[in-house]
Amino acid sequence: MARAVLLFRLIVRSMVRDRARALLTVSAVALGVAVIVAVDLAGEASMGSFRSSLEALQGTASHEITQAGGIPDAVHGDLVRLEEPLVFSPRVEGFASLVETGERVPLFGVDLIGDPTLGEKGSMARPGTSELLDPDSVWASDSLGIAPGARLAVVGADRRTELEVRGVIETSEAQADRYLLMDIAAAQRLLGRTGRLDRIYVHAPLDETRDWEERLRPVVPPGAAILPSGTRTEDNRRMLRAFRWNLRMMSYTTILVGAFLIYNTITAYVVRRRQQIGIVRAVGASRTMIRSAFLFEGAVFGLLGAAAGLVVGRLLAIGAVEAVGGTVSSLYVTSTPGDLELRPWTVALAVLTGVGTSIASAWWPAREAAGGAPTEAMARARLDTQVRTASGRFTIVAAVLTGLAIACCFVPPVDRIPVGGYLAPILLAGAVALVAPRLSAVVLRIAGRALAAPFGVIANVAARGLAASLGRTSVIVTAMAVATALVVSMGVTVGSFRETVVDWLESRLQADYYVSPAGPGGRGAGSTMDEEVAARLETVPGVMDVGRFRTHSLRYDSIPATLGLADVALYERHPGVEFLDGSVPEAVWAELARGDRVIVSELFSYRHDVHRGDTIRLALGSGLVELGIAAVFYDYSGERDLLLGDREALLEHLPDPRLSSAGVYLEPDADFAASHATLLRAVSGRGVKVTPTRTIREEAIRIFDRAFAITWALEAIAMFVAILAMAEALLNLVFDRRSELALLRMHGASVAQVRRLVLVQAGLLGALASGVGLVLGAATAQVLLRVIHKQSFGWSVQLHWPWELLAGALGVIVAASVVAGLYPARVGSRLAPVEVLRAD
Amino acid sequence: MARRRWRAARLLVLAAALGGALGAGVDAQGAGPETGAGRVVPGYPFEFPRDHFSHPAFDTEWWYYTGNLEAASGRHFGFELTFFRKTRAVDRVEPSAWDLDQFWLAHFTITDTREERFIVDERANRSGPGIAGSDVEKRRIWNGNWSVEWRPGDEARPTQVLTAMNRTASLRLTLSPRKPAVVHGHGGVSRKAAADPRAASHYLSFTRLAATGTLTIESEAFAVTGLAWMDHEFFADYPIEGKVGWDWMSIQLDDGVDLMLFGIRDANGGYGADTTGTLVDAGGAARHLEFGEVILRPGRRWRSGSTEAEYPVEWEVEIPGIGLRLDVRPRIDAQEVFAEGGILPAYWEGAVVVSGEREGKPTGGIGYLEMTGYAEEFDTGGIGDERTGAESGSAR
Repeated sequence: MARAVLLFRLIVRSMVRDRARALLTVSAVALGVAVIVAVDLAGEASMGSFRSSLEALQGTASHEITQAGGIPDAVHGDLVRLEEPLVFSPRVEGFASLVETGERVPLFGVDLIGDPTLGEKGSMARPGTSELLDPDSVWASDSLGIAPGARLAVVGADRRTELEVRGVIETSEAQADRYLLMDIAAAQRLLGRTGRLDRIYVHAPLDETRDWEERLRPVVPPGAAILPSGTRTEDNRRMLRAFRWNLRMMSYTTILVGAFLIYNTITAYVVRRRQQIGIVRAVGASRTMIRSAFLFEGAVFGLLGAAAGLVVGRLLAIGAVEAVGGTVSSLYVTSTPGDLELRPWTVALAVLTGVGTSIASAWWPAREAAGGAPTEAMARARLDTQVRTASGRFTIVAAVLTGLAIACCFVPPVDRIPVGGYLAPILLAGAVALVAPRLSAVVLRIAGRALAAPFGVIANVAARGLAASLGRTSVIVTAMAVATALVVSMGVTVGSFRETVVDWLESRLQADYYVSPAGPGGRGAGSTMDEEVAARLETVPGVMDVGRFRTHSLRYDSIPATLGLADVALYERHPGVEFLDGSVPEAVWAELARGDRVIVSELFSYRHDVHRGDTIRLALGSGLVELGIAAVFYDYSGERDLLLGDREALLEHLPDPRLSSAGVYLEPDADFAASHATLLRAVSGRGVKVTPTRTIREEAIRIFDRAFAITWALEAIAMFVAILAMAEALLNLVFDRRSELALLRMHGASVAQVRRLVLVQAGLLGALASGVGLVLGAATAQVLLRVIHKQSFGWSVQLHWPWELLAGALGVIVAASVVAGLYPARVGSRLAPVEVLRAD
Repeated sequence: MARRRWRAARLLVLAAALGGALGAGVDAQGAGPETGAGRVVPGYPFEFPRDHFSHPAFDTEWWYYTGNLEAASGRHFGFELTFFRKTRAVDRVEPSAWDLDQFWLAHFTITDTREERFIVDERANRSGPGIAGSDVEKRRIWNGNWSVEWRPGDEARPTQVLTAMNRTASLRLTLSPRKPAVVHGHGGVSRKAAADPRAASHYLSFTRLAATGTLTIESEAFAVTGLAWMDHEFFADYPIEGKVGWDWMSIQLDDGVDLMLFGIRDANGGYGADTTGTLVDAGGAARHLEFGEVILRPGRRWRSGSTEAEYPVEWEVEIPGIGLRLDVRPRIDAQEVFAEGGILPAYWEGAVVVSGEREGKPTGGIGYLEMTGYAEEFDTGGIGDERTGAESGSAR
């Protein structure tokens, strides 16, 4: 018992004495845990409670009926006459922008007269007789903060309208949905959807479990979908899960880097206290006791780090919610972030990762401390010798790991989560860790000679010094390399992706201007404008062609998709689509014009495993239509499946001539700048906007960059932790080699030379890590692009090397290494040679 | 409260739509006599089946089915299935199926005498895309899945099939007329007030319909048979000065005689001269009962727990001209048609039994009794919303 006390005192005392180092280690763990906590919290807040904003008025429905292109009004009449105890709630759904604030809010058209479920949902203050029926009557949810009686200018579809707010609908505090509500007739007019419903909710008796779908089926058109209510939320969740997994994996990288830091720290203690350990062992402490003591130390770091990490993570989450929410909004669907809530699960996760990682990192040093005979423990550099002798065996294991990593790339995703893809970089990192000693030895030997010329003999000494403590050197190289690889792989991936998107935007957006409904835009807006707008544009002098475009939402194999209807005849003159499978464009356009073919996005093809020549059955309008796939095309417009068909030909199934947008192609000699004004004049009076294509591209890129902001933030944190690890490792090195440094000084080396020695070592480490990181990063980038991205998003991205970015990043890493060496250099140069030698 | 406010919005539409009609004195805003072009004039050329279906030119129209049913065990039930229609002027700049030019309301009630249970449901709809309406081609009047279908065949005595359901009860009845339709009043016009000939409607009834079918309550199905009554009335809205409601009853006597009687009541509870009706003999021949020929005396009152309204649920009826005196008793007291947050002002409509004597000989039968204008909301016009009172109160 007394020995145990002695032992623990040994540990605790040194932790207290070496406060700076302890603090550093705890900080690293805290940062790692904080990132995990923040990402987890932000993910939950911005997506966990994620609900489509259009589900605000869903109520207690059990099913919902939808149809590509909208449900004909009459279907509702047929449904309500069904002799069943069912209640049906028809909905027109769209978005309107508030002219004053520019905010885009969901606009619901409901049956204010006949829908008995509305009484359960909203309440409206002070309604009156004629108000319900006025086409300009609107009700606003209380969270919009609009007072009853206010006039409200909105733009819905292509018209601007003045509405009168007749009342306010109370919403629950938890949801605080922001929306407008009108009678169905008025909403249809405002949104240009007269004759069509977007959704019919079915309320079935709760106590009866019958197959209602079977009962409804004969009444609704074959093309209509009957889905369990809440499918949209489910869709969104599924869509976002892959995205969340990627974020999570990235957040774990930080703790991985942090693990090296813990390893370093514990190793440092072991090294420093070798003599004390020997004494404790000599007085009878068992190996197990020694090992437990150091593992305990690791656990303490972990626990402290986790506690701090929780606090910091909660703070970081505030920023992260915005970043993650921004990504979700720009890549997926508009969402309103929920509350940040520290769940028991999150706390457990933090403690588990913090303590778990710490104990795991302390394992080797603890073993090393406990390992030898008491006298051996007092000798130094056992680890270094071990590493040196074992490096051959390590290399073989590394090769095996690399092989496994490659094999992992061919493992299919599990539930759209690329498990193999995640495993591969981890295995690769393991391989790097194992080859690091041998690689470092070789590189350092060469570097030592090469550097002798420019930096003098001290450089050679520096390199040899590093080579001599290979155990430590290789660990720090691995840690740095992993962090660097993270930067490199993300740089390459995001850079490639961005470049690909830029190229794609360039080729896809062929028109000079795009005309679309003025107000609401963006994902899922579904706003349309009258076809007459296109006809007017065609009459403008200098306009060569006007491409009419319409999108419809549909489902294929229960996954939501968008069907775009375009004037394919125009694609012959203005090719805007590129094919994956080498299809001949002219042939494809001709096939599309027949109306029994579509082309599908790569994502669609990948997800449903359908290819050129296959036939798919699509629910279009009221019917089910067999369509052949004429080709597969590149698309990076988002995470949604996309199909393209000929508008003219498919109007037969989707007989709604309104347009989502129109592309204006100018004559080659037309005055671009002057055209804008002319076009605007041509469509004046219509609530449409005319946007130059350049602006659309810029906006797309801006959205892209915003979507990846969180990625960069996570990387920066990981890199920061790596540099902390670097500083600490150098400090260890200095301490470990203090007698050599003292000897050097005794032999006449100046303070400046010793400082330079440490700095050169720092630089060498940085360079070595950068090199290894570059290779590991490049390999990881391949895995990210070809496996993880492909499996979770289905995009194939052309590889682009963002050279400038990479060069910059590597430069920063080497520079940061040198900076990190400044303090150890000072410590090293200030060692009093005589005292050091005497102590040894 | 929230719920009630919201309902109030819908209620007001209906108050406008039906207040003038049912309330017989509530001048609802926006639904003046000018709304529909149709006028009630003597000599209206009735033509069937056309006139069994809707007359959109007239402001207001309704089809009332009521009846007494018995299960094989002898267990008694009453039912009411009513379709109301209201024309509204609509500005058709951009026509939509959802325009509210025709407003439809329906009531469905079941009286379970043994359990003393009264099931009430209300349904409001616009015509919309086939949600509610009247279709002479399809021989159907419907509001959602509540409907009456007229079977082709004998046009003088058309079989009518009723269907109605909610989550508690469902009813499917086949009604076969035992007598042809009766047009009330003189010259096809049923007048409501002795002093004002403009207060009138076109009003016809099938006074004796043999009913067979199935009634299901809480998934317990009863095969039922019985006698039903059908009223069909259409008119231009016209408020009657100083009147607050009416009392109406249909009586089917055991000897085959049927009676339709009503009185339009003023604020003091009197009728003045405004009581009238029709007597249909066993052979189906109708005789109009002139103003004052009918004496209606309210008896025991029952107070509604829901609306606090007091209804005279027992009546004494006298028609001295034919030597008839009848006591009218409700099957159960609680037959007030009041849906929580419902649209129409509450009224009482329920199954009754009658007994009495005609020219000294005992007689008896069954029937339905309707009493409007007793509930406070109805009376003041302030149907759950302060604005209504302000807007329509002036007409009182």
